[in-house]
Amino acid sequence: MAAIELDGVTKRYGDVRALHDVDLTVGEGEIFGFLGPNGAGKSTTIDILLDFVRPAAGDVTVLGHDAQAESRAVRRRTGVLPDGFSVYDRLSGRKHLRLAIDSKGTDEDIDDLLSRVGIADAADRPAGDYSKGMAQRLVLAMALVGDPDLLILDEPSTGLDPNGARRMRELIRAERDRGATVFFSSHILEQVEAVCDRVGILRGGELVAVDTIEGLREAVGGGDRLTVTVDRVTDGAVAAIERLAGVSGVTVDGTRLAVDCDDGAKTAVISTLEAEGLTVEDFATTESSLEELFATYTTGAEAEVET
Amino acid sequence: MSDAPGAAPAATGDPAPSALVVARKDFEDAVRSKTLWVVTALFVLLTGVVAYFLDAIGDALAAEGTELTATDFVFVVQIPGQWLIPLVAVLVGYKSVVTERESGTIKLLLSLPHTRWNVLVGKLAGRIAVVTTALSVGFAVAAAIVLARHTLAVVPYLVFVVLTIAYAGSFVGLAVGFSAAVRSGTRAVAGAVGIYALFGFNPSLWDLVPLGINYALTGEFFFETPRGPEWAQAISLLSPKSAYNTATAGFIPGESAFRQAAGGTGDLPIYLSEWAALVVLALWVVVPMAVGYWRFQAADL
Repeated sequence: MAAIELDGVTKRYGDVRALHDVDLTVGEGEIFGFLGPNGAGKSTTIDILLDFVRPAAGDVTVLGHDAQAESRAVRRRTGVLPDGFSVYDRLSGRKHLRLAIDSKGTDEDIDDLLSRVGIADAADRPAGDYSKGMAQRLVLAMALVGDPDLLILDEPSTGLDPNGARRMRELIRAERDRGATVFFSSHILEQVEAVCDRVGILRGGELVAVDTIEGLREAVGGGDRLTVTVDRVTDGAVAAIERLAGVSGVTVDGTRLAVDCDDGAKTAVISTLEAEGLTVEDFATTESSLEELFATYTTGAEAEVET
Repeated sequence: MSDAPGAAPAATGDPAPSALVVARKDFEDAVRSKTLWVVTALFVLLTGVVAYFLDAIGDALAAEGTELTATDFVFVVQIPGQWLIPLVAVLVGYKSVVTERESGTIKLLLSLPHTRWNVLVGKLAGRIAVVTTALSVGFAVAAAIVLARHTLAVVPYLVFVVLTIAYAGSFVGLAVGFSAAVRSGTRAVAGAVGIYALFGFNPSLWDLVPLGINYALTGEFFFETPRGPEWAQAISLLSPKSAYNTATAGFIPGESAFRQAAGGTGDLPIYLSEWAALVVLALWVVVPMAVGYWRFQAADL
C-alpha cells in the first residue's frame, strides 16, 4: 500500500496557482525527497497532507486514510515537522514533549527523546530561549513520539549546522530502517542527494520529475565532464577523442577541451591527446551535480511552461 | 470537512480526551504569561477594596444592632464586578486562537492528533480555568477579609462565586469564539472592543436597545417602571450582564433587588426567571463557539 497518494491535486490562493494537477505516489518504507525552489508548492502539498489546507480539487490519501475526512487518523500515525511553525515561547522543551506524548497517548521517556535530537541539556528551559536550530530539533523530537509510520518533515535541515544536518540524515535513515516512510522537502539538494531513495521535483505548482537520483541524471544526460587545457588543438586530436568508448561529446573553446565522458574514459582521453602530439597543460574533472540537474529541471521547465 | 467533533475518547482509544490535553497545555501556557497575573491582581484589588469597605459598614451596622448579610456582600461586589469581570474575561480570551494562528504554534498543535473542534474546546476550557483561578483567588481574599471580623454565609457565597464564574465564562466563550472566527490579531482586538462595548460596559450598548425600541414606539425614552414591560425585560435578559444580575437575584436568598424593582408583584414568567438567565449565559458560550468553529474548520491555516 502507498504511504502517500495524491491524485489530480489542485490548489489556488486567490489568483495564485499553488498546485496544479499533482499526481504523486510515495511507497511505504521509502525516503522521498520533495524538491523545489521556494514558493514551488512544497509546503502547500504538505499542508494538504495534514489537512491544514484544503485542495480545490483532487484526492489525497495518507496511510490509507482520506487526508481530509480522516485527518485525525492520519495524524495519529504521523510525525510532523511543519513549515512555518513556532514553538510555545513560555513552555519548556519538556512541556512540549509532554504535550506530544499526551496527545498521542504513548508512554515514552522525554529525556531519551531529547537526547536523540541532542538538546537534552535544554529540557527545562523555555523554548522561547532556544535558537532556531534547537527549536527545529525540539519539534523533530515531538515528531518522533509514538514511533510514527510516516514522518513528514518540511525543510528539516533549516537552521542546523553541518553536524546537525548530518545527524538529521542519520536519524532519517534510522527511522526508515525501523520501517517508517519519510517524506521530506528541501531546497538544498545535497541533503536530498545524500539520503533519498527517490525525489520529486516541484516547480511552479507542477511536478516536473519523479525519479531516483541516478534516473534523473540519466534523463538530463549528465555524466562527468573532463576539462583539458592543451598547447594547441588539432582536428585530428578532437576526432580521435570523439571515437573513444565512453565519450559522449567534445566541445572546443580556444585551447580548452570540454569532454563529457564516463569516469573510466578519462585516462584514455589524456593519453590519446598526448599520443596525438599535444601537450596537456592542465586538466580537471567535474561531476555533474544535482545543483545543475536541479537547475536544468526548474529553469528548463520554466521555459517550457511559459512559452 | 473534518472528523466528527468531540469524538468520544473511548471510541478513539485515547488515554486522555483530546480537548483536555489541549486545555492543560493552554492553561500552563497562559499561567506563564503576565495576563493572568495582571488580571488576578486587578480582581483581588477590587474584591479587597469591597471587602474592606463592607468591613467598615459591618462595624457601623453592628453599632445599630444589625448584622451584615452575605447578600450584602454579593450585591456590593456585583456593582463593579459586572463590568470588571467582562473586561478580565475578554482580555483572557480574545487572543487565544488567533495568536496561535498568527505565530504558527497552531501547526504544532494540529500536527498532533487533535481535531479543530478539540482545539477550540480545549482553548475554551483552558481560558475558563485561567479566569476561574483569578476569580477564586479574588473571592478567597475577600472572604478572608470579611471573615476576620464578621460572618459570611458559606452556601450563598459559593453560589455567588459559581454564578460569577459562569458570567465570566459567557464572555470567555464570546471572546474565544470570536478569536477562532478571525484571521488576524487586529480583528481580534476590534472584536474584543466590540464585545465589551456591546455587553460589558455599564451601561452597555445592549442596555440601550429596549430604550431605543421604546422611543421608536412611544416617543418616550424611559419606561414607567424601572424595568419596563416584559418584552423589554426579555430583550434585556439576553445580555450576559442582565442574565447574571437576574441569576444572582434569583438564586441567592435574601433581598432581591431585581424583584423589588419589578414591583414585587408575584412570580415572573419562566422566560424571565433565574433559570432562563442560566440558559442565556450558556448560550453565550455555545453560540459564539459554534460560529467560531464554523469559520475555523473551513479556514486554510
